[in-house]
Amino acid sequence: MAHTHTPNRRGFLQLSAKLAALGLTSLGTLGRPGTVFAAEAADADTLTDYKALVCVYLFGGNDGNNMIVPVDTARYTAYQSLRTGVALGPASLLTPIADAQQNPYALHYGLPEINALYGSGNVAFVLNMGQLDQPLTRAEYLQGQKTPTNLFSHSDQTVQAQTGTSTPNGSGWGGRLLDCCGVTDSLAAVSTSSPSLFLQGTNVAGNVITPGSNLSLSGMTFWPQSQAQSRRQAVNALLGLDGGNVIRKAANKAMADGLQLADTLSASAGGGDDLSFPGTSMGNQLKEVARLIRLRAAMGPGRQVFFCSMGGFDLHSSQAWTHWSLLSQLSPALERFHKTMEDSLLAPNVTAFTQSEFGRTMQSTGTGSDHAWGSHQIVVGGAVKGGIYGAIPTLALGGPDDASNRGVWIPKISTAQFGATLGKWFGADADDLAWAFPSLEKFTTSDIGFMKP
Amino acid sequence: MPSPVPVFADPLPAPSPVSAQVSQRLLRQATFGPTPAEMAAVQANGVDYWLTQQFQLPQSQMADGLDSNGVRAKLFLNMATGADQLRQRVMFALSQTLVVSANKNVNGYELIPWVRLLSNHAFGNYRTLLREVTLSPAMGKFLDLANSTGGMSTVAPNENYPRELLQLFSIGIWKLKQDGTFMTTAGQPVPAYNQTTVTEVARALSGWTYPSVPGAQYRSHNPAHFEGLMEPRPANHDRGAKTILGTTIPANQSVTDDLETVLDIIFAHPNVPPFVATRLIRSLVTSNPTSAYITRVADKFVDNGQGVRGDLKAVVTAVLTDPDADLPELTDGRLLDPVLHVIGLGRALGAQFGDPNQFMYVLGNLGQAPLNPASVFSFYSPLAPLPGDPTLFGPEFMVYPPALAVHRANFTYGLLGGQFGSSFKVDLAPFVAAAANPPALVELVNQRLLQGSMSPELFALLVSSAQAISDPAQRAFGALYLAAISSEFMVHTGF
Repeated sequence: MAHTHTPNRRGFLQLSAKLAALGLTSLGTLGRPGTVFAAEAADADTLTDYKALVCVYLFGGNDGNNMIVPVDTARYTAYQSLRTGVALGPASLLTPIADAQQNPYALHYGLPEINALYGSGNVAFVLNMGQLDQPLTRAEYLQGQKTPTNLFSHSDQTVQAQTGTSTPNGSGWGGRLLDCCGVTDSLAAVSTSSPSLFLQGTNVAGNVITPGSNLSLSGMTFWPQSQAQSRRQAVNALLGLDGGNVIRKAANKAMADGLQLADTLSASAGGGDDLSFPGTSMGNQLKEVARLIRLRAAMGPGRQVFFCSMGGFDLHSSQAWTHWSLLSQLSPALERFHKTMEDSLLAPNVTAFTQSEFGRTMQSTGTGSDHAWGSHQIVVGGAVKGGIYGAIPTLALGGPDDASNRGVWIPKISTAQFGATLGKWFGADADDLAWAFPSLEKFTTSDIGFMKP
Repeated sequence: MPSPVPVFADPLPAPSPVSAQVSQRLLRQATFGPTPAEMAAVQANGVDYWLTQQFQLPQSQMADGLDSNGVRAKLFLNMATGADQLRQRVMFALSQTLVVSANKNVNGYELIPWVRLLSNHAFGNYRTLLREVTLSPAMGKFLDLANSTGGMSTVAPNENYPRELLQLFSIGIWKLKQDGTFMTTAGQPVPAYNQTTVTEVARALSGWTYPSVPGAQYRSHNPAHFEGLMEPRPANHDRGAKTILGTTIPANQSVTDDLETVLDIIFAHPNVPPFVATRLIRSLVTSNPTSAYITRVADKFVDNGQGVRGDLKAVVTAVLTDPDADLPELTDGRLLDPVLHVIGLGRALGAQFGDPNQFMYVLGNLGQAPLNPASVFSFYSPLAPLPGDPTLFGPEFMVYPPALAVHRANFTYGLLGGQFGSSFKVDLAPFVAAAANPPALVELVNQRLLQGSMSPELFALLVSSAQAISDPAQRAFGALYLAAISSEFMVHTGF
């Protein structure tokens, strides 16, 4: 997108003074002033195609160590010895897949559909990815070189995973990629579960459309119709009354945007009736995403970012069955979603990916594992260059990739690089990406290579 | 049967009448919403009188033997109809900072002691509250402190509770000044602690297990049980020395002494007063308090006037009696979250509340089913910016994006229209009776729903809207409905 990103230095200073005066820099609002470095007037009208990004967020810290396991003899032996009580035996691993060098890996037995899709070349695994401020070795980490703040904390790492920076500023990287494209419509940023910081941009606000929800405003149809219409007009007038108060103004704007969205959705009622998805929460969410993608894509060029989520991955104990149960909800839903995009001829325009706040310790707690750092993610879509990217860490406690002595992997690929790879495909140029991911300049490459050009 | 007359240990001050405006703003901030009776009481007796009374009312009870739906329903009814409104409101605020969720603590018998804990300590001391929370078996399960084992070479003590204790329950991530702003070095905020602190606290808090079932044999790791406080197990405790926030805890202290020392260290941290002050102000009064307001409340946390630190009664009083609680600025106020919204609507209109489980799923869809926050981060983040103005906070807007704003309005419609039957019943007859005269109708809506505070602009809009509708029932319902979805009802502001 052709536009500039000149930070407004004077505005920033004024704003900082205002924040301090209001006591607003309190309690974890680091960098909020940074949001004034907004993308400047990118123009959605210049878009020539349609694309969507779908984040499938796994709340709690998904155990990537057990999602994809290296099964060459040396590494599988190391894996088994380090994961007492949670290691997957051969019967709990699927038929191995291979990376470009023909190293074998096996997926968790909860992921048979993803395993099959990998064969079709539409799946990438991105290994040992996570929050980083800069490239980091174990020695540098132990010397106290700069690391993201509050590693291992759910809330912080969730915020950092979703904002793509260790100094969060109130916007998420999904929202900022939309800012880069100049897109602000009510269908641009949609969560199908909880509201999410990931979708919040500087110009675009995250929306929530849960599966099967009806958005038309109640009480607007009664006889005679002309009188009902007068009530609806009164609602519009109502939304203009704010007494000058900024909180009321924001509340009115939320409702007004919702009513507009309702009109858009009702015009497309039934648009997903033909879709068949697994009846799980994730299935229903991805079905809603598929419906909204088909609706929006039919309107012409544009951009959408979605946020779906499932919880329960914080498995400090009793991991074996629960992790299988969670992955076996994820796998068929993702496969169905991809097939639906193929059937709708939209597969090359849509990319889905997993994210989670952190991985888990290689060393077990007996029947589970603790909060750790780098982890592995799945990317699915018609524009994905199938394969395995990055590397499994050296499987040794206190080894070169361990931040501690428990198998806490120091990521080799940062969230910023992961996001930038997707962002480049999404249409953001180098300037956009540098703005959307402030730490990107610290890394040698901004493209991990898992997306087709 | 006559209701028992409460016995007040603290004498009530002399009544000192206040305006309807003062009464309304106090009841919006200190209760789940004004009722005609409470409005009259505050107007007649004044703020101090009402607060003194509220601090001494008997607690609404949480019954024994309920399942989780039953606990949720009883808690909701306590919030909606309990006489101890201030306690219920402070509990609601505390429960969003000190979080346990029925998502993990799925049984009624886990939640009942937790609700009682918050009720017992809502006006107590924050240090005592932290101790009770730390040793609560419900919290022990939710954040894994129960059966956390130290002193082993193969398994590390669990860091989940220690981390959230520091980060979400007491200190927060960055060093704060007393006014809630960040301390900075070279323009950068300064971390209040680091991962080593978390690890050290985890070592110091190792060695606690669930309470023993009465009569059961002594075990080093008890199975889950939720009556009473967790019990120490010296064999599971890391007995080495620990250093926490610059203070060294000597080796070989008992499990209990280590816990008390850790809590003393945390409680003494200068972040705790502004941390708690800001959260309570945001939850009760306004999303964007001034530094001066935070300072005044934090000062009360430091010293209640009698040299006591952490007296929540004094802190709550400071929050509610501060001049800034009048919300003088156009940036002041807070959006109602779903629970406050539905209960406030019912209280204003004298609704009869029945079994709230009939609409609990709607509250869940709206992002706030009581006792069921998605995670330890509760229903929404205190980090959330105000949509459209990231220089301001609007935490409740995280559960009020455009689609949910429409759902919230539709829920209001369902509640007013009787869609939830006996669970929420409003008598619309007085409004229908007034419908022939639109200004009289709107004035009734003004008095009931907005305690007489309706702006002339909204008044005029509702009158003209009512005049356009001929059917009396539709006319009356429309006036009430539009007022109930207006930002004058949805957002508590000053005048």
